[in-house]
Amino acid sequence: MYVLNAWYVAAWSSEVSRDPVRRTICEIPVVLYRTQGGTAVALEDRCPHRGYPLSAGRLVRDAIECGYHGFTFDCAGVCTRVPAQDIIPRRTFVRAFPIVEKDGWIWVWTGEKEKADVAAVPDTHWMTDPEWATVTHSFPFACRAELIHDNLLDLTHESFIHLSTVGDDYIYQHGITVVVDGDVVSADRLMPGVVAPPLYASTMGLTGLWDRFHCTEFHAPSFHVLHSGITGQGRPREEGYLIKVMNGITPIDAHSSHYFYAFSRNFGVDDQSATEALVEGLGTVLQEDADALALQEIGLQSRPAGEFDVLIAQDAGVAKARKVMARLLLAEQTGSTVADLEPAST
Amino acid sequence: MMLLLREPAAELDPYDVESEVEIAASPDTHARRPWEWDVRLTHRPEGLSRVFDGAGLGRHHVDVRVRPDVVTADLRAVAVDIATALVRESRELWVLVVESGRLQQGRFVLAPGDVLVCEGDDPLALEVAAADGGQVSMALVALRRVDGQALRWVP
Repeated sequence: MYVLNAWYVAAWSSEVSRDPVRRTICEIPVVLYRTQGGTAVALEDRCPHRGYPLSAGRLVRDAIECGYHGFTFDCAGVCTRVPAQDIIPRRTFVRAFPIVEKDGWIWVWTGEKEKADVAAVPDTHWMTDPEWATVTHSFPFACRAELIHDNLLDLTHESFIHLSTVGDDYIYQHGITVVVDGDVVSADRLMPGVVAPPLYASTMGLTGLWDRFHCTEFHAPSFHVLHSGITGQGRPREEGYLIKVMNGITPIDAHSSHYFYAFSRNFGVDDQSATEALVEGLGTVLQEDADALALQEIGLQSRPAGEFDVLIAQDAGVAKARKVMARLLLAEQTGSTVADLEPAST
Repeated sequence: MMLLLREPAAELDPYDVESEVEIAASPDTHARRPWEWDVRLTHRPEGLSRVFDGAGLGRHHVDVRVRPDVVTADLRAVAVDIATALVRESRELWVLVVESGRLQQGRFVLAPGDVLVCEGDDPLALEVAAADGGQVSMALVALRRVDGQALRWVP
């Protein structure tokens, strides 16, 4: 059901501290905390003794102590102390996940450790680039992750779900070019000669007609970058007013997901009122999506077996992304053994 | 809608004669409706075909299979140098496979082995040119329904 050999966003950097926090990723319970030196750690949130969540325990220097009977584990998941006896049983370890902290995101690899490739963590450099101003949100979504992927790869929904915010009728009147390059699927739409959307018009005082564009770039299985903006008619996109929307979609279970959202712009960077307006406006957009997809999730759960989506040409990005995900899942079906997950020291 | 596939032939197994890559097909899921047509990259052509041998992707065929009572197909070679418009008739679906050279199409550049599928009901004037000067050679597959209706397809 889940592609596990992948990086998933587990948290914002600001959410991980010396107080352990629990996250569920692809039905795997994970506890996150920081060492005294500030390094982020991710362990499976279940004590091997009798299943108590380590996140309900406490930190002892760089280790975490189970709050039930005091079993203590270091950053590699190795048990260093069993208070009630001197001998530590061989099976007393917890899984330690590869973890990357970059640009304010915490990424966790949920698959086979030796396959974790730091170079595969998506590019998010706009978050820390002083030429860009960034707004972030986190939302729980009451739907399967696949619905969020579909939502981002088909932006015609903006004309209907986001009428009061980013929607315009002309969006669905323009076709798309879908590009498939390995595990990356992009859905690109150019809307030439249109009026600047309110975000640009109000922030930069823009009038007249512009070429508007958006391109959702899906790095399967978990991350989208939406390259969006307006530019002078017939002019290269790079010259324009640009937005980068980064979307970390992390499955919790079959019917719910974490949504980590970052919106970076290269115009009005120092305009604090624009930033405040975006915090509110983008929160509205996300809530509209959350409400819509929760309804869709209910609809799908009651759909009869043997009934399938009726896809149209505008769903090409959706269709191709589903095939990439199916291929990734199939590739993992040769499986891993428990032995692959044990720390090397046992 | 246009679909650009980067080097789909890279998924072909050069040592497995049964290996094939589906570029476009109708229906996309064979269990749901009767099969009508497909365009594949394969070592074993069965329909209209053209050999592709280059760009480090190994020798294989662009192969077009159709149910002749439903769909007609045309497969031809096309060469492009200066900027030109390739005109697709209404209710046709095109599959272009770049064989040599680099093709500029809008903001996209297609390299040898890349595939562009052009879907839609309306006539299309596809603006293309050789990206670096020189010449681009392509295989062009044109599909039409026998009954003149639109050739609908979702990838």
